[in-house]
Order: sequence, then structure tokens, then C-alpha cells
Amino acid sequence: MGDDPPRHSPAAVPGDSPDAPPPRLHSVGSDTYSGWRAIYLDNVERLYRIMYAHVGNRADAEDLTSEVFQAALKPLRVSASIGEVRAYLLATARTVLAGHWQRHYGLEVTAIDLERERASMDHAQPESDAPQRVRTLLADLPERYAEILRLRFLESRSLKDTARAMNISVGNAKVLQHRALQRAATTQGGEA
Amino acid sequence: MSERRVRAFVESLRRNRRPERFDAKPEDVDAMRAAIELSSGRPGATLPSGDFVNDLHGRLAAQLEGDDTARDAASLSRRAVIGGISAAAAAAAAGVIVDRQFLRASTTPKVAASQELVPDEGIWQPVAAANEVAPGQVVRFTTASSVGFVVNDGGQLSAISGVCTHQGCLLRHNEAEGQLDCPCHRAAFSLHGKVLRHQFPEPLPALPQMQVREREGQIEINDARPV
Repeated sequence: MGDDPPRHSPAAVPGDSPDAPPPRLHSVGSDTYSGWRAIYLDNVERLYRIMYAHVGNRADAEDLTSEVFQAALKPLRVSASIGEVRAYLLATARTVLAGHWQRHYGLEVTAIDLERERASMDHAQPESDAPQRVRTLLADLPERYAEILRLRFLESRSLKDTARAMNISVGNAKVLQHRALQRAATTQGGEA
Repeated sequence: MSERRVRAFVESLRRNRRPERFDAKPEDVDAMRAAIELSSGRPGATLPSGDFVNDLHGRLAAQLEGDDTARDAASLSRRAVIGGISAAAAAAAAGVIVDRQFLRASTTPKVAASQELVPDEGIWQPVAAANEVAPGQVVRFTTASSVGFVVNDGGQLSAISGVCTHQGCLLRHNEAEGQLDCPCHRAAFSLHGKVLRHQFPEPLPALPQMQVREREGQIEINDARPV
């Protein structure tokens, strides 16, 4: 995996199609960006949010977001429409994320669903639906499973703390957490 | 079975830290994926920090433009703060990216009153069609170097920075409350930039105002940094 030539190739840059109308350079109209800074500022939060939702920690989300912009901005034509720019950034993000999993874990743990994320990128103010998804997920789990996951992830408690709060041993908390995560994965189904 | 390594992976995510790499087995994937999903559900977790946004901007400027403009500007801004130059001058010198540096530094010293970003140079940039900003409407805009909101208050146009003066997080328009919310630390600003609430021990500066005008059917912002 890693770099995927068709996605990273400048030939795949949106707006390069011979059928596309000639782009207006440096237009500041409603559907194009005025320069790479505008592309960056408008999309950095959106891309970071997507990356974070697929790796679950800040350091990796920052590295992968950086990688996307560093790979995508240079060949990207500023004159492409906002939609095309976002589609290109997202395609690059998918490739970068796939490379990350393959390189460091040997298999793909999460993947970017282009269609779903593309739609979310067009919201004027990108909101994360993750908190709502997690609430729904926890509500669908048996009580003990939901409780340990809530304590561990939403309240960020240590295993020791969690075990104490649930009145179980640390060993039992480890087992319970593992089972709860596996159940959560099956509950969320094809979501991730 | 790599249950132990999966547990270490989960623990890292709980602490919002980078997990150690390992050769995962197919049976590990479910638990890892669920842990990622749960980690993303923490309030504000999926928002980038102002430091990261600013630093990456500097690195991209160096990569794409072959110079260190943004980094130089940032350090210039820090010197300006130390030297006592006003917020308006520092911000006008290099736009919002620098402004964030200034504002971060300004959380410890005394807080200035609401400042206006008055560029001593720069160009007027269209950010919206005038008919898109009807009376009572608030429109978010992005230019090459700034993010902000144009507000039409009964025909009176104003524009304010869309970057929180605490740590540079991007503000969101809360239509229901008629205010701008910071998703990072729950600060809120009025549509004129006034601080409505925050949770910090030190006072929070108001949002800088930006110059705005309507010209030939376009709403324009005076942007200090030409494209």
C-alpha cells in the first residue's frame, strides 16, 4: 500500500479533465479558493476531524493531516472548484490513512468512506457527529459494557479507578473492557 | 493472541497519546476500531489545536513558497508583544495566523479592549455576495490569511475574526443563541466580538474587528496579506 499513484498523481487533480471548463485563476467567487492558504484554512479542521475519527489520538491525527496537506497542496490547482479540491484532499487522506495502518500495524484498521465524509465536508461549519454516535453506541450495549466504556473513554479514568468505581478487580476490568469493545464493534457494525 | 498489545493500544488512546506500533492480527481489529470510535466521542477531541494549525501553516508556507514567511512573521509578532506594540499593529503586520501567536502570548499580560485589525497595507477581498448577507444574517468567510464572520445587523455591516482569542480554535456560529461558540473550551462571544463567557482565570480578549465594506454587490474584507 502506501502511495497510490492514481490518487496522488497530478493527473488526478480535480479540474484537470479536458472536458472541464477553463478555470478562472485566483477567483474569489463562491465556488473557488483564492490560494493555498484559503484551501488550508478552510479544510484543516475538516481533515483533522476525519483523521482523528479514524486514528483516535492527537499525535497521529496531526501527523496524518500534515501529510495530506504536504502531499496534496503542491500539485493541486487552486483554480479547481471547492468541491473538487475537497474531493482531492479526501482521496489523498484515504491513501495516507491506508498507508499509516499498513506501515505500522500490517493491516487496515479503519478506512475513510469517501462518500460519507465527502458529504460531511460540505457543511458550512464542520461539526463532529462522533459524540452523538458514541452516545447511541453506548445506549445499545448491555449496562456493564456501556458503563466500563463510559468510564474509560468519556471520563478517561484509569483501569484502577474504573475497577474501583465498578466494584470489581483490575483483572476483571481488563476482561470486561475487552469484551465490551468487541461487543461495541459488532454493535457499530459497518459504521467505521 | 495480542490482547495485551491491544490493551496497550486502547490505553494510549484513552490518554490521547500515540499508541505503540505492533503487528495486529485480524481478531484485534474490532476492539481497536471500537476504541478509536469511542475516543473520538470525547467532547472537542476532534478539533485541532491552534498551535498545530499555526505550525502546519508555517511548514506549508516554507514548502510551497520556499521561504519562512509565516515563521518569520510569527517570531516578529512575539517580539512585537514583548516590545509593547499594539495588537492592531501586530495583527495588521501579518494577518490572523500571526494574530493567533499574539493572542496566545497575550493570555498572561493585561488584556486590551476590543481591538480593530487595521491593516496598514493589504487589499480588499470579496468574501460574499452582498445579497447573501441579508439583515440579521451572519456569514462565515475565509480569505488567504484570515477566518471571520460578516454580520449584517439591521443593514449595518461588521466583521470580526473567527478565531478564539484563547488558543486560536475556530469559532462556530451558534444560530440559536445568536453568538459565536468556541468548541475547545466553551468560551462564547457576541456577534460583535464581545466576550460573553469563558472559564479561564485570566480575562479573555474580545475578538478583533476587521474592516468591511460593500462594493459592487460584494462584501469585501480588508486583508493584510495579499494573495
